[in-house]
Amino acid sequence: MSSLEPFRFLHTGDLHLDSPLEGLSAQAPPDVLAVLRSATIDAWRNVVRTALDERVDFVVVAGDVFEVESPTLLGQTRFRDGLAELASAGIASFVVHGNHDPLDGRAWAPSLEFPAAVHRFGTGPGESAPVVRDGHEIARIHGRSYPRSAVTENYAAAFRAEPDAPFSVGLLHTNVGDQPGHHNYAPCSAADLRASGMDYWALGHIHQPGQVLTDPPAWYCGIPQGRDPGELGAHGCYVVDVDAAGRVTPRFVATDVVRWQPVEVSIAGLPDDEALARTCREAVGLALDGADGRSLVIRLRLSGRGPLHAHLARHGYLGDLRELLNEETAGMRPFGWVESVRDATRSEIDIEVRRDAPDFVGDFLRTVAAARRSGRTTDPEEHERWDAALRGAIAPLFEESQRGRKFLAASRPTDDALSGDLLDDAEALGLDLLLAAEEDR
Amino acid sequence: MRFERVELDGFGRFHQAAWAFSEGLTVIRGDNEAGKTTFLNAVRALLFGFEATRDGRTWYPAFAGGRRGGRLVLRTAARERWVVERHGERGGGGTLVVRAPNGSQGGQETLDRLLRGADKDLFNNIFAFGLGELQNFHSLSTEGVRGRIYGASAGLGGSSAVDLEQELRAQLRESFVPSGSKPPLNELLARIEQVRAEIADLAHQPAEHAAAHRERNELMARSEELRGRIRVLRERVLRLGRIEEAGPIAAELMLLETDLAAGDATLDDLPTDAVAILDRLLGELEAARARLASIDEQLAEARSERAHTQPDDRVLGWADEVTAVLEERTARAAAEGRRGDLEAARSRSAATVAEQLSRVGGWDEARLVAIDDSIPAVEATRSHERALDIAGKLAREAEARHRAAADELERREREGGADETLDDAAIEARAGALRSLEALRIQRATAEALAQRGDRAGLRLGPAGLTALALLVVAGGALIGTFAGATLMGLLAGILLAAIAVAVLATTGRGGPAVGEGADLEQLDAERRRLLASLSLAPDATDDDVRRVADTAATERARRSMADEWRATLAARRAEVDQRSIEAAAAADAADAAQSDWDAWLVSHGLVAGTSPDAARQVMAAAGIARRAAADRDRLAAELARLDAADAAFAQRADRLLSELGMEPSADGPRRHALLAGVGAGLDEARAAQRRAAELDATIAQLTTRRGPLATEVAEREAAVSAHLDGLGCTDADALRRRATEATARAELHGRAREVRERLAGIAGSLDAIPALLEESAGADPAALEAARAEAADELSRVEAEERGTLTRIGALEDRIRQLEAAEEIGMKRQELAVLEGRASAMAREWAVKALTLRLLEETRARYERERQPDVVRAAESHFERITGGRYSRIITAPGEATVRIESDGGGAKATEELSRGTAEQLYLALRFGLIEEFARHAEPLPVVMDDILVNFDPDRADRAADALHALAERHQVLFFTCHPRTAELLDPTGASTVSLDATASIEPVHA
Repeated sequence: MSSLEPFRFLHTGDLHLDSPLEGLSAQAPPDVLAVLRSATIDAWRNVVRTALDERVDFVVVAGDVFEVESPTLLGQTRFRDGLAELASAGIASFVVHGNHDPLDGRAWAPSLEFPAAVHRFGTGPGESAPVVRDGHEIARIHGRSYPRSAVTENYAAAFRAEPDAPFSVGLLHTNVGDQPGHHNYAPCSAADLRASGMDYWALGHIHQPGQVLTDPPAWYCGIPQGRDPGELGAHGCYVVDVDAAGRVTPRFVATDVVRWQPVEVSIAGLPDDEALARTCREAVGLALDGADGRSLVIRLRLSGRGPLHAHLARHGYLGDLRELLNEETAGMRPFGWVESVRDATRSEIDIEVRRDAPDFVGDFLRTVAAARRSGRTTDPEEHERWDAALRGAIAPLFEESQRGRKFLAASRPTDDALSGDLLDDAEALGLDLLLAAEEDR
Repeated sequence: MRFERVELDGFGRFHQAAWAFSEGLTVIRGDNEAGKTTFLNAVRALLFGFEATRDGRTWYPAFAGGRRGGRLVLRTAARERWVVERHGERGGGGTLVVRAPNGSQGGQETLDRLLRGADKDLFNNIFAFGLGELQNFHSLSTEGVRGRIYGASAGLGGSSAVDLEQELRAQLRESFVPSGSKPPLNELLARIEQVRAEIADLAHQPAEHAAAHRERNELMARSEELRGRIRVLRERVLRLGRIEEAGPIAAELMLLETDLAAGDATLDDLPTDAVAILDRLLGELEAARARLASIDEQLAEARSERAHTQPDDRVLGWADEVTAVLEERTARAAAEGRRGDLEAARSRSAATVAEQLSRVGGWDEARLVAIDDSIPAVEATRSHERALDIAGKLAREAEARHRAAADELERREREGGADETLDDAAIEARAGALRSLEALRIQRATAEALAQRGDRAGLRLGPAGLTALALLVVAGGALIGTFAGATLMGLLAGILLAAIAVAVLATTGRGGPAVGEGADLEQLDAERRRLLASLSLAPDATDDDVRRVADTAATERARRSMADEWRATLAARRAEVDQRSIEAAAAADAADAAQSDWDAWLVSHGLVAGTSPDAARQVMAAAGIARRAAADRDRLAAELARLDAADAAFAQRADRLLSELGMEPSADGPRRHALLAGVGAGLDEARAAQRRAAELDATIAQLTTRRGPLATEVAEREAAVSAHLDGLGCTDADALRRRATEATARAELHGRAREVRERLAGIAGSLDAIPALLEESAGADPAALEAARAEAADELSRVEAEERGTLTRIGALEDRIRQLEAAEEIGMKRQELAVLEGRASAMAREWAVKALTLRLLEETRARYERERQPDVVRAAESHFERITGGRYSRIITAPGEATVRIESDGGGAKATEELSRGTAEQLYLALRFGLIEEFARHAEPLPVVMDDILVNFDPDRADRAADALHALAERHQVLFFTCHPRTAELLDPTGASTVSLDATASIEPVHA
């Protein structure tokens, strides 16, 4: 590659604008909800602000600008407004569409007018667009949008750099190497990326930012704003510097406005409710200190063994604790809103000893153990019996109720959960009840 | 636990009844209708509440009186005493009070704890039962009974597994019910459905946006087209209007131009301001003429007044003299006013002189005023006065001292004072003897002490010991001296004694033993006796006797000292009287000399000898006053003489002036003054006339000077008016004014013609276009024109209205587009849905955990019943075998089944239906015993109440059942009701533990 004019661009994608933040198990207070509601759009504004502040030469958007499943004009409008702001600052934008915002006529409002400095790639192969600065082409962007949500074709394989291009950027929404936990759309391999001759792959689809290939450099930009408890930590975009030799240096810039934060507090050694509340409060404060000035949606998990375990099992205790913590920090900015408190503590008793005891508690623990084993047993009769028993127990909600069947499909316990964590929790609850009854004696 | 007392305030037939029970078995006898079942139900009611009405009737009303209910006194295994009190009129719990041993009160919860989870079902079926319950296996197999028993044996304390299951079921129902809407999870799912529908309703927004966008674009194109059409129509309407409008205006223009052509064109050249200039010139001329006339009038007035103004020259010639005389007249009048004051002052001074002369006693004026009253003279009188006072005072004091000394001497001599009875020598001798005696006493005591110590230690004193002894003796001596009245002497005697004692000790104690002490004491005693004799005391006189003599001696010595003192005083007084006499004589001489000096001074200053200094000073003061008054009197007389002379001179000068002015002088003062006043007034008048004449002369000169230029100006302005009229070819002003009026009318015509042309230019577009417009309108038909223009205007209105409508719609569409683009409803709804789904998911999970827990508990319990039940059954088997005398040895139960089977010793199995009534009752009794014992293994044994349950047992089995009951009563309190004497005897052969249901009712109730 001959000597280049150094330049800089911003790599973003998976904006999912105006989509809801998922997984909230409690109603947030109005001020918190307002922040959560506008979080994706505010994060996009931060992306635009980053491009302006960093004086990038162009911006690439790697798909999933919003979600076709629940299209809102607001998201598209704000997207266009951001691009218009970039255009008025002389910054060109290059956009491909992914599985959530395919060009299938459903998603994009055809009436929405984009500035001239925006290039939206079509669904056909081989399309490229030059990036021109001061009358010279500094880079060439290759991209391809999804014509529909589920694209199973390997798009990357058809990407080819052109010899006369000063620097080639491949812009694609894809799952490289069939990464688990994600739809395997526009699947491709590292070899496909290598064969393309691109100088940089600007990828979208996987929401955790990071590099997937060093030669050529291929990066997932991640999502600018984490949207559910699974999208932990900082989220943002990459500002990519390209020097005269064509070497790229991506730099991560956080753009999120609120973060999901699991916080774990052990009850071990805590003597009373007050100590627990204090420890939780400190843990929340500590999380906020490390949040880079961002607000936090906190999932508090209580763990360990201790005398407080019996208190936690009391009906309504966890809800009260959550409300107490939130009451104390209400109105603060940045906020640390405790979304849920989960009790993963266990009683202090030696469960193995109790399991061997010839009493009712022992019988109960052995019953649970039998149920747990049934998930792995090769005895089809035993397996079927327990499956029927456990499935039958939860059937009134998940099977027999029409609304439950319809709206709780996603929450319907899997076989693994039934013989795994749900069973663990049931064991803990049953044990708590039995031990409390024993205490009563 | 046992029932210690049962008290019924009112229950069925019982009123104010009480029973006390001991441990173990108590047989309670009562005939039919005695109230055995009532009692059993009363106990049940006190523990678990009242049954609801039965067949519309109250359950066991207190028909014998009292309030329905009562109390149970319970005694626990730990000897704690609890009282359970319950009252109520209707079915249900009524009013329950549980009193703890510590006095605190509780309710149902306390009672539940106390009963260790035994509830109504359990108690009524297992612990308190009659024949009816015994015959019914169902009462053993109810869920409650089974659960309690298994729960208790499972080690769950107050709660059984069944309780836990029920609690979980309640919690599950609280959260969700399969068909219902109230529980929170049901509500959440309903809300999710609703929000989803709302979101679906809002999903049309992108389509609406696209449609609005499309319509807006179409309307904008249409709007553009309409605007073009409006432009064309507006032009057409305008053109037609112009043509129509131009017709009458062109005719008017033509008429105007004809009129102008017929008029005098020269008038166009007449300056428009010609009349104005003429008016200005005429105005200026009139003003100049008026100013000239005014000057002439002023001149005439001044000249006339001057002719009448002539001053009096004669008075003016004597003006200075007149002024001087008038001023002097004023001065004289003022002097005349002071004359009276001067005369009065002169009289007062003369009176003062006469008064002072009279004060000094008729001296003549010359002698008095000659007396020296200067300050040195007055000082001299004061100096002499002090000398006289001092000398007199000293003489009086010396005489007084002399007299006082003489009086004192006389008083002393009169008093007397010498006691001649005292013998000085005897007194001294007694004092010496007393001192010696005290010295001896001490010496002897010392010697005795030394002798005793010498016996013990050989009386060896070192230098320090000797010194201490010496000091002791010295101190003793001093003490004696004090005692005897002479400290110094006592001290000396002490020193002497010390020296003696030390010397003695030094010689006797240094080397050898203490020998010879006995001989020294005898010497001392002999000396003492001698001294006592000298004091006239017996040889054996004690120290107290000696002290009394010493007191008497001291008194005598004091009296002798006082006599000596009196004699010395008398001699001193006599010498003093002599000395005072000499001093008094010398002072009297000095007083006489001072008086002689004063008299000599008086004579030398013209005063009389013998006058006191104060009187002399009074004469000197009168001389001063008289001298100053005489001088004043003389000065005032001279001033009055000067006034008289000045008055005469003034009269002479005034008379001469009056003569000069031709007036007759007058010797009369007031008349002269009046004349002089008239002269003064004449002078003022002459002076005023003189000043006015001068002013008028100046005015006339000034006016004459101003008149010349004004006359010239009037002539010039008249010439200018003539020149203006000539220039415009007019003979006079009126001719000019007529011409100007004609020119104005012509100018108006020109103006109107211009105006009309401009209007035409406005219609045509420009001045140049007027000819063409005139030409076009000339050939047009006005009616056709009007019709065409109206048609075009209508079309224009229609198109404009359409365009406005289009723009309004475009505005509305753009508003809607903006609204849609900023619409947050969908996002908000989706967020709400996400939260709802999240909450539902969390709640569903929690529900699922509880549902699983419930299922696992149920499984466990089933398993427990399956595997653990033999414990209960085994115990029951043992009782059953015993009661049936070994006939039946095995009981078989299947979990979840409501039946049991038994096996006989021969191996045959029978279902309960196949058993005789008695055997079935024995089986159920055995099962109850098994359950009671199982319960007691995990909780405190409860009392057991049975109501005549052995009636169907044959005698053998009844005997064995009685044995089983006795065995049970070892751990449980058993109350057994029966109406059969045989049963009572069987259970309690001695009758010691048997009571009558009626007989016990008299026990005094306890009221906690």
